[in-house]
Amino acid sequence: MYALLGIGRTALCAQQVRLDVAAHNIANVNTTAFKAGRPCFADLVYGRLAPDVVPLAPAAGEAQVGTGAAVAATLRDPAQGALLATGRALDLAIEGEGFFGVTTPGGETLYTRDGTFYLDAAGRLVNAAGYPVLPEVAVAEGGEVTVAPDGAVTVVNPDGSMEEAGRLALFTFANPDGLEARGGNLFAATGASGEAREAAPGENGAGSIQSGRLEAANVDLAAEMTGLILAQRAYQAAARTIQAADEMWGEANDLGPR
Amino acid sequence: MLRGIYIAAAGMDAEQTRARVLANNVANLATPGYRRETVTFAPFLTHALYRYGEGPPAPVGRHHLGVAVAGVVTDFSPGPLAATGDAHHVAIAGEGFFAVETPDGEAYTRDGTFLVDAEGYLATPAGHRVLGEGGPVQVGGPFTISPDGEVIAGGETVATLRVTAFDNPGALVKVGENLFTDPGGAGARPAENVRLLQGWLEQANTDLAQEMTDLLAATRSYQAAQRLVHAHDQLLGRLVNEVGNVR
Repeated sequence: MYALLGIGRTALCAQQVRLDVAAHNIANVNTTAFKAGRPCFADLVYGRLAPDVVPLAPAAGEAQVGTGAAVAATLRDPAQGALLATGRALDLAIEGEGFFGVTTPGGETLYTRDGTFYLDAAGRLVNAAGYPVLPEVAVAEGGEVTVAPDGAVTVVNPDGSMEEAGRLALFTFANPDGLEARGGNLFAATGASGEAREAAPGENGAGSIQSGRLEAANVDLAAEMTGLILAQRAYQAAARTIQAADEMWGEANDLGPR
Repeated sequence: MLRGIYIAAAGMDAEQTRARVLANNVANLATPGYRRETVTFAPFLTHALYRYGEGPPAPVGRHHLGVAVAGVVTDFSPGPLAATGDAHHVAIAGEGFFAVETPDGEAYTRDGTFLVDAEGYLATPAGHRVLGEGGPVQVGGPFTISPDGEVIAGGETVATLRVTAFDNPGALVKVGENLFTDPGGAGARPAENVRLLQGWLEQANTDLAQEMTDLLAATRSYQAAQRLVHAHDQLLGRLVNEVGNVR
């Protein structure tokens, strides 16, 4: 009976994660460059039926019984989000693969697809949290900044002269699903993601940069809502198996002396 | 009388196993490529009845001492395919399994959730590398899979995925993580007439209406067997306390 209850419990936990992921996706429907999470379910190990516990017919020597389900991993849907025009020159969207790199005050390199950039007091290109973009690009005061699809940052001075201030790089990973989400649209490289590979925008598999646009979240609300219903009903079905276990256990207890 | 109690108790044990298998099917409702299981029952300890009297003992029939689990059978019918639009997902339309490399040897799965691992190989979420015709498939980044199994990365065909079918899938053993292994006797061969669909995922073939109905039947059969134990208990009570009472 413990086994039966345990199977129901694993299913409740797995469906709970699915609900959590769906809720997180829906909450981030307006988060720039957010990638929807997709839980992957897997069955758990199988055990042999023990003849000393359950009567087995001679042919049942190899009978296996499962122990439930679990979430094996939560992958991020790699699909490109819609590119929304904002008209701001320092709003940068990546069309294709890759991440911008930023340096935290602690000196750590983090990666993001959220290209909402600003110029700080020192004229450096920084993200919304104030972390400088890699490689560092500094712009002298007063100029109008444009960013080309290949990452070239150009300053148009008030007198009309143009000056290249630097060139943005993109970072790609063998396994972007292995990146560790740090919040604030930032990710850190891990052993699972592989080393960051620096590439010029538009080269070596990296996407191109679209100035004046931001990448929207790739959350499909209709799919999330359908998923929510599926998760809720599957949760209910799992709860029913626990109820069945409870009823059976009640019957078994009823066998005892009264 | 005691025999009756044991027969009824065997029924309770068997129904409990059935409920476990059903609960596992329900728990794996959302597991891609999961194959549902059914329990089969068989009579337990058949014994022959003889009439003793004049002449040699003559057989008059058989009777059984309860029920036992005869086997847990995996239902290999395909599950419904769902469009996910996610490039991680590949479904097999038709027979066969993807082959993956595990520390314990080759394993097979219908779950086509693939990612690219840190070294650029196509792998399952649990980290097992997916096998092509020539071993693990290195893609290095985003990949597309053609309907006939060609893996295309960086504009080039890098490998062809291996899809293995079995003449006797009943011999496959489930090992968890959506994997099956072949302990021998399953008769592996290349699958025929298979189409691979990227952006699709095969769902579990769990039939929820069937599982819930069977679960109801299992709980009620368990209850009925429990009542039988009670009935036998009462009979035993009478026998012990009332037979031979002259009052």
